[in-house]
Amino acid sequence: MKLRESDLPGIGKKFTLHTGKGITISLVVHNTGRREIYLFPSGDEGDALCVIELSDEEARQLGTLLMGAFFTPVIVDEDKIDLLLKGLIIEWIELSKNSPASGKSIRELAIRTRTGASIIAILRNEKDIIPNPFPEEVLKAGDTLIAVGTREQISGLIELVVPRSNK
Amino acid sequence: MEFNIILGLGIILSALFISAYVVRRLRVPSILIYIILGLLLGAFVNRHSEGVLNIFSEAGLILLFFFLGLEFSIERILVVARRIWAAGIIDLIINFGLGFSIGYLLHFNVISCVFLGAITYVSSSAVILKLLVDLKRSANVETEIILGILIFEDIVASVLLAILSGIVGSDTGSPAVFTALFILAKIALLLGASLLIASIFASNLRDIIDRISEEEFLSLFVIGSVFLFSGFVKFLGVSEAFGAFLIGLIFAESGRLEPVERIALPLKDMAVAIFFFSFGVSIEITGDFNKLILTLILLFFVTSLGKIISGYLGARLSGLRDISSLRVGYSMVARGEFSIVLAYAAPDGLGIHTLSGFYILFLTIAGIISMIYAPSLARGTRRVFTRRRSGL
Repeated sequence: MKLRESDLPGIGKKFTLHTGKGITISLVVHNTGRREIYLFPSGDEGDALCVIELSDEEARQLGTLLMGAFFTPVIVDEDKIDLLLKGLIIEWIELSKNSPASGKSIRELAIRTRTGASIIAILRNEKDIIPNPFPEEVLKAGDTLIAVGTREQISGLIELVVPRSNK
Repeated sequence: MEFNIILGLGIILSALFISAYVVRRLRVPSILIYIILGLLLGAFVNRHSEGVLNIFSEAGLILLFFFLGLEFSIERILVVARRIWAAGIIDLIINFGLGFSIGYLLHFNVISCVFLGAITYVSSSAVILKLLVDLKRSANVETEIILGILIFEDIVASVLLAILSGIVGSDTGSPAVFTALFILAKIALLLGASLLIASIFASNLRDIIDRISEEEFLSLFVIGSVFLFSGFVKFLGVSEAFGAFLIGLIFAESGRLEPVERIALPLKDMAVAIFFFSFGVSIEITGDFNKLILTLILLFFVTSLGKIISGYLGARLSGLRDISSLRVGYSMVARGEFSIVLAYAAPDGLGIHTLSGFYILFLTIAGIISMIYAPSLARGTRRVFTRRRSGL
């Protein structure tokens, strides 16, 4: 994967990425904050195959999704994005009915020891918040776990709580 | 009855607004509309309002160059200079050369030929930049080369303007060559001094702007420094526009562009509109009509072709392939604001204003069309040439 940054005086900045499949993706960040994502066929000369235009806010939302946060809270503020950029992820994971984790306690699952991620809160029935749950807390289907960790730790946690068939 | 200057200015500004509003959906750049309006309304602008217009258009010129300077940091200039110098020099030689030669062939005097060369040399950054963004070509490979050449041109043209207006302004008896050398020395000194000021006082300037960025007198500080510096440079016998460009460079080094641009932009937009309007007013068809038409036709075809060729060669040298290089060529044809600024510096009575006014009108429109169809034009051109080669 090669990433190249170049200056577009009067327009903004351009970041070009050549993917493993031979596609060239160019991201243009305009001085106005608008973003454009251009897709070029392999030869990368000529006009783009398609262009996606995003406002500053839309681009940030899409960015968090691309970074692996599948579920976005209502408000994504800048502080959270900063955390994401530093490699620390706060993740919202909803437990489905057939999640292997439902009915088990956090201690039983050994989440900290097996994945390294920590559950900092549980959202239950969409209105109850259990902050800093004890290890004895039993997880239920429909819970949303709010977990913090590096990207690898979080994906380990997802492995653990999301049923195999759903992946 | 005394002439009501406020009413006159109000009518002009409103007319500019209405015409810009009406054509805003078309791809026609607003400066063309301002010039055409000046041309049409020129007869109604009387001597009283002319004085006011002159003050505003002078301010417009200065602020235009101030903003140009703001766009450049010293670092950016060095990067462009390293990457694009060969393409830039080819562009200068071919296009300045063609304009100069046509003037020479048609028996214009030497100073007019130099002005023609300068006017035909500079492509329009404003038109080309806007179209690149509108046509969704910002990420194309050729765009980096186009932008590089445009920056190179803007810098060279700023210096050219300083030299030309210096030569026109000085009425010493010494030969033009000495005058030019003397002015060149002054320009180099001013540039050096400005870069020195920029690097020494960048942090002080940043502190000042930070401290007063929310105060209402920030505008007094910014506009005041711009006019003070430009006026001082003019006092030294170099173009005030070049001075404004330098103070723009100094402000750019402070790294605090946002408050400065926010405060100066509204005044700049208004004054620049009046500048182009006044230029339109100064166009009048006098003298040899046939010669005007002949010159226009020659300039139109030869210098359009010149840009296509120089753009192609420059892009090839910068490592682009055939088809993209042709697209660079077809994207460089538009001339605009800078050519007008250069023509504005020409002395009256040479007919340069009128000639370049029409030249720019035609070449802006031709440039826009050529740029929109650049992809198909480039493909077509290559097909013609490969067929000819294989036919041999």
